Amino acid sequence: MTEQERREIEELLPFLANGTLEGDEKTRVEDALQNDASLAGELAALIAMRDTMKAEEGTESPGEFGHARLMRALEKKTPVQTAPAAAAPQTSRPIFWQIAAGVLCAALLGQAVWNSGADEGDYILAGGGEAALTVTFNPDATEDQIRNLLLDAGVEIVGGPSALGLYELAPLEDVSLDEAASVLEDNSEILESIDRVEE
Amino acid sequence: MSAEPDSATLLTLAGQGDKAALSALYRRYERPVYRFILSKLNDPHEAADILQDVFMDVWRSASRFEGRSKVQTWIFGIAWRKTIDAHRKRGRMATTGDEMPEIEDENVNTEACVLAGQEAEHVHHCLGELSEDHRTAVRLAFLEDMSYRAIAEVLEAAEGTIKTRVFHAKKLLLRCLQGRVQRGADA
Repeated sequence: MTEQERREIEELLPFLANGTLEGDEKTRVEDALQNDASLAGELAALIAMRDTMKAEEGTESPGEFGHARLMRALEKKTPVQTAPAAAAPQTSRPIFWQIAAGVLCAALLGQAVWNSGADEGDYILAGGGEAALTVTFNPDATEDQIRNLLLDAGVEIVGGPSALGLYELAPLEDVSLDEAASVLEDNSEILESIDRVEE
Repeated sequence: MSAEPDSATLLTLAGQGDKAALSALYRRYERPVYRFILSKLNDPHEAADILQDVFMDVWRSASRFEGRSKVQTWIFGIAWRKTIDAHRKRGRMATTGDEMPEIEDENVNTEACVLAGQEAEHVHHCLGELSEDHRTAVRLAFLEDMSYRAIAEVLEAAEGTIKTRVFHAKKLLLRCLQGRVQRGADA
Protein backbone atom coordinates (compact mmCIF):
# COMPACT_ATOMS: atom_id res chain seq x y z
CA MET A 1 0.00 0.00 0.00
CA THR A 2 1.43 3.36 -0.98
CA GLU A 3 1.51 6.27 1.43
CA GLN A 4 -1.25 7.99 -0.52
CA GLU A 5 -3.43 4.87 -0.49
CA ARG A 6 -2.97 4.50 3.24
CA ARG A 7 -3.86 8.12 3.79
CA GLU A 8 -7.09 7.62 1.80
CA ILE A 9 -7.97 4.55 3.84
CA GLU A 10 -7.29 6.42 7.07
CA GLU A 11 -9.52 9.28 5.93
CA LEU A 12 -12.38 6.87 5.33
CA LEU A 13 -11.92 4.86 8.53
CA PRO A 14 -14.13 7.10 10.74
CA PHE A 15 -16.95 6.63 8.27
CA LEU A 16 -16.60 2.86 8.40
CA ALA A 17 -16.81 3.25 12.20
CA ASN A 18 -20.13 5.12 11.94
CA GLY A 19 -21.56 2.76 9.34
CA THR A 20 -22.01 5.29 6.52
CA LEU A 21 -19.39 3.98 4.12
CA GLU A 22 -20.81 2.21 1.07
CA GLY A 23 -19.86 0.46 -2.14
CA ASP A 24 -16.32 0.53 -3.46
CA GLU A 25 -15.02 2.74 -0.66
CA LYS A 26 -16.31 0.34 1.98
CA THR A 27 -14.77 -2.64 0.19
CA ARG A 28 -11.39 -0.90 -0.11
CA VAL A 29 -11.28 -0.06 3.58
CA GLU A 30 -12.39 -3.52 4.67
CA ASP A 31 -9.75 -5.15 2.46
CA ALA A 32 -7.07 -2.90 3.91
CA LEU A 33 -8.13 -3.77 7.44
CA GLN A 34 -7.59 -7.47 6.84
CA ASN A 35 -3.91 -6.91 6.12
CA ASP A 36 -3.08 -4.18 8.60
CA ALA A 37 -3.40 -4.74 12.34
CA SER A 38 -2.70 -1.11 13.20
CA LEU A 39 -5.61 0.05 11.04
CA ALA A 40 -7.84 -2.52 12.71
CA GLY A 41 -6.72 -1.24 16.12
CA GLU A 42 -7.43 2.33 15.07
CA LEU A 43 -10.91 1.31 13.95
CA ALA A 44 -11.54 -0.34 17.33
CA ALA A 45 -10.47 2.87 19.10
CA LEU A 46 -12.76 4.97 16.91
CA ILE A 47 -15.71 2.67 17.58
CA ALA A 48 -15.03 2.79 21.33
CA MET A 49 -14.90 6.58 21.21
CA ARG A 50 -18.11 6.80 19.19
CA ASP A 51 -19.93 4.44 21.58
CA THR A 52 -18.79 6.52 24.55
CA MET A 53 -19.90 9.77 22.93
CA LYS A 54 -23.34 8.35 22.19
CA ALA A 55 -23.75 6.84 25.66
CA GLU A 56 -22.73 10.03 27.42
CA GLU A 57 -24.67 12.50 25.32
CA GLY A 58 -27.49 13.52 27.63
CA THR A 59 -28.36 17.01 26.45
CA GLU A 60 -31.72 18.18 27.73
CA SER A 61 -33.69 19.68 24.89
CA PRO A 62 -36.82 21.89 24.84
CA GLY A 63 -38.87 18.76 24.04
CA GLU A 64 -42.61 19.09 24.52
CA PHE A 65 -42.31 22.68 25.69
CA GLY A 66 -40.54 23.56 22.47
CA HIS A 67 -43.19 21.70 20.52
CA ALA A 68 -45.99 23.65 22.19
CA ARG A 69 -44.11 26.89 21.47
CA LEU A 70 -43.69 25.92 17.82
CA MET A 71 -47.38 25.10 17.45
CA ARG A 72 -48.36 28.42 19.01
CA ALA A 73 -46.05 30.26 16.61
CA LEU A 74 -47.51 28.37 13.65
CA GLU A 75 -51.00 29.25 14.75
CA LYS A 76 -50.10 32.92 14.79
CA LYS A 77 -48.52 32.70 11.33
CA THR A 78 -51.23 30.64 9.65
CA PRO A 79 -54.49 31.15 11.53
CA VAL A 80 -56.77 29.72 8.87
CA GLN A 81 -54.55 27.14 7.20
CA THR A 82 -55.72 23.59 7.69
CA ALA A 83 -54.17 20.32 6.68
CA PRO A 84 -55.87 18.22 3.99
CA ALA A 85 -57.31 15.63 6.34
CA ALA A 86 -57.85 12.93 3.75
CA ALA A 87 -54.24 13.07 2.60
CA ALA A 88 -52.71 12.91 6.06
CA PRO A 89 -51.69 9.41 7.11
CA GLN A 90 -51.25 8.26 10.68
CA THR A 91 -47.91 9.87 11.43
CA SER A 92 -47.59 9.39 15.16
CA ARG A 93 -49.20 7.75 18.12
CA PRO A 94 -52.76 9.03 18.66
CA ILE A 95 -51.98 10.50 22.04
CA PHE A 96 -49.50 12.90 20.44
CA TRP A 97 -52.16 14.14 18.05
CA GLN A 98 -54.47 14.73 20.95
CA ILE A 99 -51.80 16.75 22.72
CA ALA A 100 -50.90 18.70 19.57
CA ALA A 101 -54.54 19.41 18.80
CA GLY A 102 -55.17 20.39 22.40
CA VAL A 103 -52.25 22.78 22.41
CA LEU A 104 -53.52 24.43 19.23
CA CYS A 105 -57.03 24.84 20.63
CA ALA A 106 -55.66 26.14 23.88
CA ALA A 107 -53.43 28.62 22.09
CA LEU A 108 -56.43 29.99 20.19
CA LEU A 109 -58.50 30.21 23.33
CA GLY A 110 -55.64 31.80 25.21
CA GLN A 111 -55.18 34.36 22.46
CA ALA A 112 -58.90 35.19 22.59
CA VAL A 113 -58.81 35.69 26.35
CA TRP A 114 -55.67 37.78 26.08
CA ASN A 115 -57.16 40.01 23.40
CA SER A 116 -60.38 40.46 25.34
CA GLY A 117 -58.50 42.37 27.99
CA ALA A 118 -58.03 39.83 30.73
CA ASP A 119 -56.39 41.05 33.89
CA GLU A 120 -52.67 40.89 33.14
CA GLY A 121 -51.29 40.23 36.59
CA ASP A 122 -48.02 38.43 37.17
CA TYR A 123 -49.80 35.15 37.64
CA ILE A 124 -51.64 35.11 34.31
CA LEU A 125 -50.11 32.48 32.03
CA ALA A 126 -49.50 32.87 28.34
CA GLY A 127 -51.49 29.95 27.04
CA GLY A 128 -54.98 28.51 27.20
CA GLY A 129 -58.25 29.15 28.93
CA GLU A 130 -59.28 25.62 29.97
CA ALA A 131 -56.61 25.01 32.57
CA ALA A 132 -57.69 22.82 35.44
CA LEU A 133 -54.35 22.51 37.21
CA THR A 134 -51.28 24.63 37.71
CA VAL A 135 -47.98 22.91 38.37
CA THR A 136 -44.30 23.61 38.73
CA PHE A 137 -41.78 21.05 37.62
CA ASN A 138 -38.77 19.98 39.62
CA PRO A 139 -35.76 21.70 38.01
CA ASP A 140 -33.95 18.36 37.95
CA ALA A 141 -36.76 16.55 36.12
CA THR A 142 -35.79 15.53 32.61
CA GLU A 143 -37.86 16.26 29.54
CA ASP A 144 -38.44 12.50 29.11
CA GLN A 145 -39.77 12.23 32.66
CA ILE A 146 -42.07 15.20 32.18
CA ARG A 147 -43.36 13.96 28.84
CA ASN A 148 -44.05 10.46 30.21
CA LEU A 149 -45.81 11.87 33.26
CA LEU A 150 -48.06 14.07 31.13
CA LEU A 151 -48.91 11.11 28.92
CA ASP A 152 -49.54 8.83 31.92
CA ALA A 153 -51.78 11.41 33.57
CA GLY A 154 -53.61 12.17 30.33
CA VAL A 155 -53.04 15.91 30.49
CA GLU A 156 -51.68 18.54 28.16
CA ILE A 157 -49.84 21.80 28.72
CA VAL A 158 -52.17 24.65 27.80
CA GLY A 159 -50.22 27.58 29.18
CA GLY A 160 -47.01 28.80 30.69
CA PRO A 161 -44.41 29.03 31.83
CA SER A 162 -45.20 32.12 33.88
CA ALA A 163 -42.51 34.27 35.41
CA LEU A 164 -42.73 31.95 38.41
CA GLY A 165 -42.35 28.80 36.32
CA LEU A 166 -46.03 27.83 36.57
CA TYR A 167 -47.51 25.68 33.82
CA GLU A 168 -51.23 25.23 33.19
CA LEU A 169 -52.50 21.74 32.49
CA ALA A 170 -55.83 20.48 31.20
CA PRO A 171 -57.04 16.85 31.15
CA LEU A 172 -57.57 15.28 27.75
CA GLU A 173 -61.13 14.70 26.65
CA ASP A 174 -61.60 11.21 28.09
CA VAL A 175 -59.70 11.80 31.34
CA SER A 176 -61.33 13.08 34.52
CA LEU A 177 -59.67 15.81 36.52
CA ASP A 178 -59.54 13.59 39.60
CA GLU A 179 -57.79 10.78 37.70
CA ALA A 180 -55.26 13.18 36.23
CA ALA A 181 -54.59 14.90 39.52
CA SER A 182 -54.14 11.58 41.27
CA VAL A 183 -51.45 10.44 38.83
CA LEU A 184 -49.67 13.78 39.03
CA GLU A 185 -49.76 13.88 42.82
CA ASP A 186 -48.07 10.49 42.94
CA ASN A 187 -45.01 11.91 41.17
CA SER A 188 -43.62 14.44 43.58
CA GLU A 189 -40.10 13.77 42.31
CA ILE A 190 -41.10 15.33 38.99
CA LEU A 191 -43.61 17.93 40.15
CA GLU A 192 -42.71 20.46 42.82
CA SER A 193 -46.24 21.70 43.24
CA ILE A 194 -49.72 21.01 41.95
CA ASP A 195 -52.83 23.11 42.51
CA ARG A 196 -56.33 22.96 41.16
CA VAL A 197 -57.54 26.04 39.34
CA GLU A 198 -60.47 27.52 41.20
CA GLU A 199 -63.67 27.79 39.16
CA MET B 1 -49.60 -0.88 14.26
CA SER B 2 -48.58 1.06 11.14
CA ALA B 3 -45.00 2.23 10.80
CA GLU B 4 -44.35 5.95 10.95
CA PRO B 5 -43.87 7.57 7.53
CA ASP B 6 -40.32 8.30 6.50
CA SER B 7 -38.97 11.81 6.90
CA ALA B 8 -39.26 12.70 3.22
CA THR B 9 -42.98 11.83 3.27
CA LEU B 10 -43.47 13.88 6.41
CA LEU B 11 -41.69 16.83 4.84
CA THR B 12 -43.86 16.58 1.72
CA LEU B 13 -46.98 16.59 3.89
CA ALA B 14 -45.66 19.54 5.90
CA GLY B 15 -45.14 21.34 2.61
CA GLN B 16 -48.85 20.83 1.93
CA GLY B 17 -49.73 22.48 5.23
CA ASP B 18 -49.98 19.39 7.44
CA LYS B 19 -49.01 20.58 10.92
CA ALA B 20 -49.20 17.06 12.32
CA ALA B 21 -46.46 16.03 9.89
CA LEU B 22 -44.34 18.96 11.10
CA SER B 23 -44.97 17.80 14.67
CA ALA B 24 -43.70 14.34 13.78
CA LEU B 25 -40.60 15.83 12.15
CA TYR B 26 -40.03 18.00 15.19
CA ARG B 27 -40.19 15.01 17.50
CA ARG B 28 -37.82 13.08 15.25
CA TYR B 29 -35.11 15.73 14.90
CA GLU B 30 -35.59 18.21 17.72
CA ARG B 31 -33.11 16.67 20.12
CA PRO B 32 -30.16 16.13 17.74
CA VAL B 33 -30.66 19.51 16.06
CA TYR B 34 -30.82 21.26 19.44
CA ARG B 35 -27.71 19.37 20.56
CA PHE B 36 -25.91 20.51 17.40
CA ILE B 37 -26.89 24.16 17.87
CA LEU B 38 -26.05 24.10 21.57
CA SER B 39 -22.63 22.62 20.88
CA LYS B 40 -21.83 25.68 18.76
CA LEU B 41 -23.40 28.40 20.91
CA ASN B 42 -23.18 27.05 24.46
CA ASP B 43 -26.29 29.02 25.42
CA PRO B 44 -29.43 26.91 26.05
CA HIS B 45 -31.86 29.82 25.68
CA GLU B 46 -30.40 31.06 22.43
CA ALA B 47 -30.15 27.49 21.17
CA ALA B 48 -33.86 26.96 21.94
CA ASP B 49 -34.73 30.15 20.04
CA ILE B 50 -32.71 29.04 17.03
CA LEU B 51 -34.29 25.58 17.19
CA GLN B 52 -37.68 27.27 16.96
CA ASP B 53 -36.49 29.33 13.98
CA VAL B 54 -35.18 26.21 12.29
CA PHE B 55 -38.53 24.45 12.45
CA MET B 56 -40.36 27.58 11.37
CA ASP B 57 -38.05 27.60 8.34
CA VAL B 58 -38.74 23.91 7.78
CA TRP B 59 -42.46 24.74 7.77
CA ARG B 60 -42.05 27.64 5.35
CA SER B 61 -39.60 25.88 3.02
CA ALA B 62 -40.87 22.30 3.09
CA SER B 63 -42.63 22.63 -0.26
CA ARG B 64 -39.33 23.60 -1.85
CA PHE B 65 -37.45 20.52 -0.64
CA GLU B 66 -36.23 18.75 -3.77
CA GLY B 67 -35.14 15.49 -2.22
CA ARG B 68 -31.54 15.80 -3.40
CA SER B 69 -30.31 15.24 0.14
CA LYS B 70 -31.60 13.43 3.20
CA VAL B 71 -34.11 15.33 5.30
CA GLN B 72 -31.72 15.11 8.27
CA THR B 73 -28.99 16.79 6.20
CA TRP B 74 -31.37 19.48 4.96
CA ILE B 75 -32.59 20.36 8.46
CA PHE B 76 -29.07 20.36 9.91
CA GLY B 77 -28.01 22.66 7.06
CA ILE B 78 -30.70 25.16 8.07
CA ALA B 79 -29.54 24.89 11.68
CA TRP B 80 -25.93 25.43 10.66
CA ARG B 81 -26.70 28.62 8.71
CA LYS B 82 -28.76 30.04 11.54
CA THR B 83 -26.06 29.20 14.05
CA ILE B 84 -23.41 30.90 11.94
CA ASP B 85 -25.67 33.96 11.67
CA ALA B 86 -25.95 34.01 15.47
CA HIS B 87 -22.17 33.81 15.73
CA ARG B 88 -21.83 36.76 13.36
CA LYS B 89 -24.31 38.81 15.36
CA ARG B 90 -22.27 38.16 18.46
CA GLY B 91 -19.20 39.28 16.56
CA ARG B 92 -17.35 36.06 17.10
CA MET B 93 -17.06 34.20 13.88
CA ALA B 94 -16.08 30.58 13.95
CA THR B 95 -12.46 30.25 13.06
CA THR B 96 -11.50 27.78 10.43
CA GLY B 97 -9.67 24.89 11.94
CA ASP B 98 -8.23 23.38 8.82
CA GLU B 99 -4.82 24.90 9.26
CA MET B 100 -3.00 22.46 11.43
CA PRO B 101 0.58 22.12 12.53
CA GLU B 102 2.20 19.03 11.14
CA ILE B 103 2.08 16.15 13.54
CA GLU B 104 4.79 13.62 13.49
CA ASP B 105 3.41 10.53 11.84
CA GLU B 106 4.26 8.15 14.62
CA ASN B 107 2.15 5.12 15.35
CA VAL B 108 -0.20 5.38 18.28
CA ASN B 109 -0.77 2.62 20.78
CA THR B 110 -4.24 1.61 19.63
CA GLU B 111 -4.83 -0.66 22.63
CA ALA B 112 -4.35 2.31 24.93
CA CYS B 113 -6.66 4.35 22.70
CA VAL B 114 -9.38 1.70 22.87
CA LEU B 115 -9.15 1.71 26.67
CA ALA B 116 -9.21 5.50 26.90
CA GLY B 117 -11.96 5.68 24.28
CA GLN B 118 -14.22 3.79 26.66
CA GLU B 119 -13.81 6.44 29.36
CA ALA B 120 -16.16 9.38 28.99
CA GLU B 121 -13.85 11.67 30.94
CA HIS B 122 -10.97 11.06 28.53
CA VAL B 123 -13.16 11.38 25.45
CA HIS B 124 -14.70 14.66 26.64
CA HIS B 125 -11.30 16.05 27.54
CA CYS B 126 -9.81 15.18 24.17
CA LEU B 127 -12.81 16.51 22.24
CA GLY B 128 -12.38 19.73 24.17
CA GLU B 129 -8.82 20.00 22.94
CA LEU B 130 -9.91 20.10 19.30
CA SER B 131 -10.58 23.24 17.32
CA GLU B 132 -14.24 24.11 16.89
CA ASP B 133 -14.32 23.00 13.26
CA HIS B 134 -12.66 19.69 14.03
CA ARG B 135 -14.99 19.07 16.94
CA THR B 136 -18.08 19.90 14.88
CA ALA B 137 -17.08 17.46 12.14
CA VAL B 138 -16.37 14.68 14.65
CA ARG B 139 -19.67 15.26 16.45
CA LEU B 140 -21.61 15.07 13.20
CA ALA B 141 -19.76 11.89 12.26
CA PHE B 142 -19.99 10.10 15.60
CA LEU B 143 -23.07 11.52 17.32
CA GLU B 144 -25.30 11.98 14.30
CA ASP B 145 -23.74 9.21 12.19
CA MET B 146 -23.48 11.36 9.08
CA SER B 147 -21.48 10.41 6.01
CA TYR B 148 -18.69 12.74 4.91
CA ARG B 149 -20.91 13.83 2.00
CA ALA B 150 -23.72 14.77 4.39
CA ILE B 151 -21.33 16.64 6.70
CA ALA B 152 -19.93 18.52 3.71
CA GLU B 153 -23.45 19.53 2.70
CA VAL B 154 -24.43 20.64 6.19
CA LEU B 155 -21.26 22.68 6.73
CA GLU B 156 -21.19 23.93 3.13
CA ALA B 157 -17.65 22.65 2.62
CA ALA B 158 -15.98 20.44 0.03
CA GLU B 159 -16.08 16.69 0.65
CA GLY B 160 -12.28 16.56 0.58
CA THR B 161 -12.14 19.27 3.22
CA ILE B 162 -14.37 17.26 5.52
CA LYS B 163 -12.38 14.07 5.03
CA THR B 164 -9.17 15.96 5.80
CA ARG B 165 -10.76 17.66 8.80
CA VAL B 166 -11.96 14.38 10.28
CA PHE B 167 -8.62 12.75 9.49
CA HIS B 168 -6.70 15.41 11.42
CA ALA B 169 -9.24 15.38 14.24
CA LYS B 170 -8.93 11.62 14.49
CA LYS B 171 -5.13 11.80 14.73
CA LEU B 172 -5.32 14.44 17.44
CA LEU B 173 -7.94 12.50 19.36
CA LEU B 174 -6.01 9.23 19.27
CA ARG B 175 -2.83 10.98 20.34
CA CYS B 176 -4.65 12.72 23.16
CA LEU B 177 -6.32 9.50 24.33
CA GLN B 178 -2.99 7.68 24.30
CA GLY B 179 -1.42 10.47 26.32
CA ARG B 180 -4.21 10.31 28.90
CA VAL B 181 -3.60 6.61 29.45
CA GLN B 182 0.16 6.99 29.58
CA ARG B 183 -0.04 9.85 32.06
CA GLY B 184 -2.42 7.79 34.18
CA ALA B 185 -0.01 4.87 34.14
CA ASP B 186 2.98 7.10 34.95
CA ALA B 187 1.19 8.82 37.86
